[in-house]
Amino acid sequence: MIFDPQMRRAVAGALPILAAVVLVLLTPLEAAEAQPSYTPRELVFAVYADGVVAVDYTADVDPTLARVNITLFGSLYEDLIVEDQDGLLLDYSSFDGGVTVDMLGSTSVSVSYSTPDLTSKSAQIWVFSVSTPISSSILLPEGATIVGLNVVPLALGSLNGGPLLTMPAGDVEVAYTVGIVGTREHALALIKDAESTIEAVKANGVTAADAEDLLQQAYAAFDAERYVEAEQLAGQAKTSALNAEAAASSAENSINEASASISAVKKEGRTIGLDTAEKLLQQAEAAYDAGDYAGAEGLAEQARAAAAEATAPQPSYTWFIVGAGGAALLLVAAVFVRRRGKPGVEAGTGEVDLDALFEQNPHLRFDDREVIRFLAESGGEAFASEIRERFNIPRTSAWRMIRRLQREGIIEIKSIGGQSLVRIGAKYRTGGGGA
Amino acid sequence: MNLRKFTALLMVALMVSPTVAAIVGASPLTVGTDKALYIPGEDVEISGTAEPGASINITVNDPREVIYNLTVSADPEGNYSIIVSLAADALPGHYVVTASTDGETVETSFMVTMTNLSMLVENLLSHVERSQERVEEALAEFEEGVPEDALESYQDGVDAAETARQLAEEGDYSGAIESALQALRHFQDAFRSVMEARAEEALETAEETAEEEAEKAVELRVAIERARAFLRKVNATADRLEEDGYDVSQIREVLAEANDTLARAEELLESGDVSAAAHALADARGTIGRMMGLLHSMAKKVKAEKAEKFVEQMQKRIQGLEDKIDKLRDRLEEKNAVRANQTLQAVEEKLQRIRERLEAGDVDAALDELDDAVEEIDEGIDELNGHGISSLLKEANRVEAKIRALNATAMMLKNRGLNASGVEEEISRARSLLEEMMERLEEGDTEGAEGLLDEAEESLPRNHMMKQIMKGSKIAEKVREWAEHFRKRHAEEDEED
Repeated sequence: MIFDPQMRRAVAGALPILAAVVLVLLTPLEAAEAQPSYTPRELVFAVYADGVVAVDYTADVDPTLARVNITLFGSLYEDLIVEDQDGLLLDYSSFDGGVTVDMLGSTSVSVSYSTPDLTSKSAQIWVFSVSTPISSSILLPEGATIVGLNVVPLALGSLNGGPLLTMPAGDVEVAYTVGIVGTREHALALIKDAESTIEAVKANGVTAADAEDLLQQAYAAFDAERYVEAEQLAGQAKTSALNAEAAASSAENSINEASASISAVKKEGRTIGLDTAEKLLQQAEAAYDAGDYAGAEGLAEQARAAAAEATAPQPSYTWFIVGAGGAALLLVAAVFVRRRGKPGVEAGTGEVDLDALFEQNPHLRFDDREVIRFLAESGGEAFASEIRERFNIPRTSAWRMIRRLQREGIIEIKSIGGQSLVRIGAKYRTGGGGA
Repeated sequence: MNLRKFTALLMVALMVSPTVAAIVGASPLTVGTDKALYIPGEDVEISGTAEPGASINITVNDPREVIYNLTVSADPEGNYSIIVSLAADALPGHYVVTASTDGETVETSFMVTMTNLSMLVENLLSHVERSQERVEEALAEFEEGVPEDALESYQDGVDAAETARQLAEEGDYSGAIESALQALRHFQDAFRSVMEARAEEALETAEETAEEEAEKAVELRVAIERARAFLRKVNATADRLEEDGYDVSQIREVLAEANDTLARAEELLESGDVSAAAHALADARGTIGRMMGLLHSMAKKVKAEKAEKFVEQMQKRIQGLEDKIDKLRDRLEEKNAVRANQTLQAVEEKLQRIRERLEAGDVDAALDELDDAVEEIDEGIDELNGHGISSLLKEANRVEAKIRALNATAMMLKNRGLNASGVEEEISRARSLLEEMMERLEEGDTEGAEGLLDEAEESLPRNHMMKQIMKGSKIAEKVREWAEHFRKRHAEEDEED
């Protein structure tokens, strides 16, 4: 008896057979009569970017049955829901490889669940593989690219930015990759990376205005959901910040070298033309301060060149007298200044409350604390040059540290007689000129 | 050549060459087909070699079942050949041809695809193009030291893609598809080589860290999306349960809670706080777990009610069968009819006991017995043993059950204010066909009865009701729409052709 229309058509199709040799239609196909308890009707696999597949499976069921075993795909079923043709819940129990559904006269069953068992990943290539009793629709994740098919699909298209395939029944294998570039998440990760780089660079006292500007543009692109652009801008922002840091470090080296050359030249007594060098050095420091690191480096190099060209004065008696006199005067003045303490001491002295200062500024580095301690021991203030000598740190490093502490309001800087006097901020001083 | 590559090539060869069985089998028995890809309605030439004069059994399986089972004889040279036609509505998919003689069996396979290949080729080629671009992107990430084999595979892929395009232009769609699939394989090899080389470098560059971070975030996002889709589905289920008078307030409460937690996870992810978002998702999963518990107990309630109705239906079916046996008494052997009736009566008694169990609330035990009772009804019909009457009655029994279920669905549609008149018409038509069938059977016209039964079964509405009701699964629905659209386009193009 042939009830299945599919079979009947197949038999009808068999009639116009042109046989080259003897041909006998053997089995009258009745052997396959054993009625299956269910007939798969529709099968949809929605593959997510994390490899989990949401399965929707519908089958027609013999309505005289109380229970039916349905073979499912994969072995782990999450969020499993079984419903009948009217969308009413059916009770089930699972066995290895499927579920036993209490059909109780339903004509069809719809099973939906998620499973991680149908995909695997190696070397960034995902493979979805399954064996199905009927043709199935497979929706791959958004942005996925197919890189392999084991059989010819019946249809191919795309839905919601993901490839959509209709594959024939049987063993199906689809290889694909999921690009991470251009996703919201990737853009966000790159922006975060750029942010932290810029923060780190700024914490070192380096100005990264261009980088910050690019980062702002990246934010704007991100908000407008132009993720590829945001990724590019974030990348540029990071590069810009790192470049600024490199330029600053290079400029700093040049300034240190120029400063060392000037000191050396001074020691050699080649003082003629040295003022030009010193002026250039000051300009270099000013340029550095303004964030113009290339300019700073250029000026520092000029300063070094000028120092190298400085010459010693001709040994003339009058010059010697004037010079010696001048030197003596200077010496006296210096001794006087030192003896007397620093100018303006009367305005600024007072006990420094170190404990409070450290407590309120827990982020201070070890070096910072040492310098502040030194200032406190020196009556709350000292010349920048004294700090440099005491701690044997390069000029620009000392200067950067002082600038940073000043920005944080921990110290104040006063220019006295061409020298920088560093003083602990008024709020940390008890008595004296405390605010 | 490494093993994986070899296997890949072998697979391509298997897919591409229909005559591969001739190469693989060292025995004189071989089988092959003239092409690898056919469309419905085409002729398939199966040929091979065997011992001269041997008789060879050939079966052809479509994706579901055997469609041909034939015997051919080899000529004095040991060659054989046979042509089979594919039906105009042949099932698309993977077909297997098996040839066997005494003690030897060989196999080959071919694909049957949809009638109109031009659109498939067009789409396939655009996917090949994307695949190529993807490989190019991956290659571009290397400033130097691009792996040699990656470049080679890439070039092979580009060549195969070009061949595919040319063949498509010439109208050789089967050839184009084969080349396109080859191109995909080459691109996959190239991509794999690139990715493996990258992994070997194992450079923890900032970009890679960003990629890893992003991957984690993407995984989290899709897990949230999936959970959302699931909650929507549960919501739709709750709607239907409510319409049917079940109290779903508890499910709704937990559903709202899960939705809120997911919203929190989404917000956290939006702000870039991946680990906090992961925690929120875990919370939501916990809530969903509770909800699953509620759904399960709801399913048990639905089941208890369904079981009672099912027992009623079974009782009706048994009565119907007893009536039919009575009407057909002239056509049956007396002792068979008596035995069948005895079996059916025993089932009736069993059903009475099952009822009592159900009333006592012992649903699961009742169901075990129900499952047995269903089989016993069929056994009772088998007792009739009368010239096809048994199987006809069993089938009629199933069709009647379907009609009853459809009737219930039609009632439900009406209750929900939907138009069910079309369905009702089809049901009444099927009913009258069944009545007519019984009349024929009484007259002894088994063949005529069979035809009417088939007609009744085919007249039953199948899918359209599901579509009206199944609103839960968004993706499945979209895929369905797409498939519909695709079919239409196909039909239009076929008309143009």
